[in-house]
Amino acid sequence: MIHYPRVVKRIAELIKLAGVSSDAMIEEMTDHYLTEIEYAVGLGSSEQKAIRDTYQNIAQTDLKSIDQKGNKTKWLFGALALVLLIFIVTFQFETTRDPISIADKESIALPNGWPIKSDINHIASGFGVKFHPISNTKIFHKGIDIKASTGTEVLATGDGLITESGYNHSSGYYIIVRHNDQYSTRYLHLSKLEITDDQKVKKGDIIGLVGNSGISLNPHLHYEVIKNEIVVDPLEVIAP
Amino acid sequence: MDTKNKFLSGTLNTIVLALLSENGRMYGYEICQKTKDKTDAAILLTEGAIYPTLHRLEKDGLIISSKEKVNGRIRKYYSINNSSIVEIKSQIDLLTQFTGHLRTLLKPSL
Repeated sequence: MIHYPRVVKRIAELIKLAGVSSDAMIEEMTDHYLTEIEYAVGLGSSEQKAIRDTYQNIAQTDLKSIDQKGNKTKWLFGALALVLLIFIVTFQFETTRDPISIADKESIALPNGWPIKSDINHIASGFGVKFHPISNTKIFHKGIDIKASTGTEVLATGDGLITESGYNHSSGYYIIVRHNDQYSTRYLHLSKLEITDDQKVKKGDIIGLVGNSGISLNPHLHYEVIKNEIVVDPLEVIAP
Repeated sequence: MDTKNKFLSGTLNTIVLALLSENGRMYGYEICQKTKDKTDAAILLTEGAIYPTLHRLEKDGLIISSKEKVNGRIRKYYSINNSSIVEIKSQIDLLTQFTGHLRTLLKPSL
C-alpha cells in the first residue's frame, strides 16, 4: 500500500503537467496511478521500480483531451475576459481622445480651469519639445509658461487636494494639486503660497501668487497637467 | 489513431456498460485491468480514453458514481444506473448482434 505524501504529490503534479486541469479529474487520476503502482508491486515489482515506471507512464501520456469540459469552461472564460478587455480599452481610448467627454463626466474633478486670474493670457512658452535659447539644445517643456506680473493670483484649475507645496532650487515656490485618480496639476515659480498641505481646494480658489522664484528669468507661472503619471498639454484639458 | 483504436472508439461506451453490468461497482483502473485480462492484453484501455467515457456516461445518466476512501485516498466507483437498465441492455444486445453480423461479413465461409 503506497501512501507516501511525496509520491501522491508528485503524481498529481505530473498529471497537471500532462494537461489535466480539473481537481476532480486530478483526484481520480491520482488514484488510478497509485493503484497502478500497487498492482505492479502486487505482481512482484519493487516499489522503487513501480513508482518510476508510473512516473514515466504519466509523463509519456497525453492527457490534454481528458477533461475537455474543463478546457471548454476555461476557453469560455478566456473569451469573455477578452471581450471585456476590448470593451474597456475601446471605452478608455474614446475618453482619452475626447477631453470634452471627460469634462462632461468629471467636470468637477477635471482640472479644466485657467490657472491665473488675469485678463491678459499670454503663453510665453507652450508644451512639448522646445529649442532652448540659452543652451541651444532641444528640451521637452513639461507645461506651459504664462506671462503675468508678480502678485497675480494663481487659481486651482479644478477641485482637489493640496498634496505637496514648498520651495526648491529649480521650481521655486511650488504647489501640487491632486484632482482625482488620474489628474494632478503643478504650479511653479510662485512668489507666495496661499494654502497648506492636505488642504482641500475648489476650482477657482486662490492657491498662491505669480512670482519669479527658482530658475526663472521673468515673472511667470509654469503650469503642468499630469495625467496617469505622464505630463500632458494643459491646453488640451482646459475648457474652451 | 491506429485501427484498433478506431474500432474501439465507437464501442467503448457499450464495453464499459457491459463490464459494469457484469461486475457491479468498478473504478477506472479496474475497468482497464479487467479489459486487459479478459482479452489477453489485446485491448488496452488508456486512461485518456476510459475517464472521458465514464464521465460522459455519468452525465448522460446511464451510470452513477460514488466516492470512497481507499488506502488513505479517495476512489471513485462507478455502477449501472438502475433506472437506465433497459436502455443499457438494448445497447449491449445491439452491439452483440452487430458484431455477429460483422463476423458474417468478414468471414463469409463461416
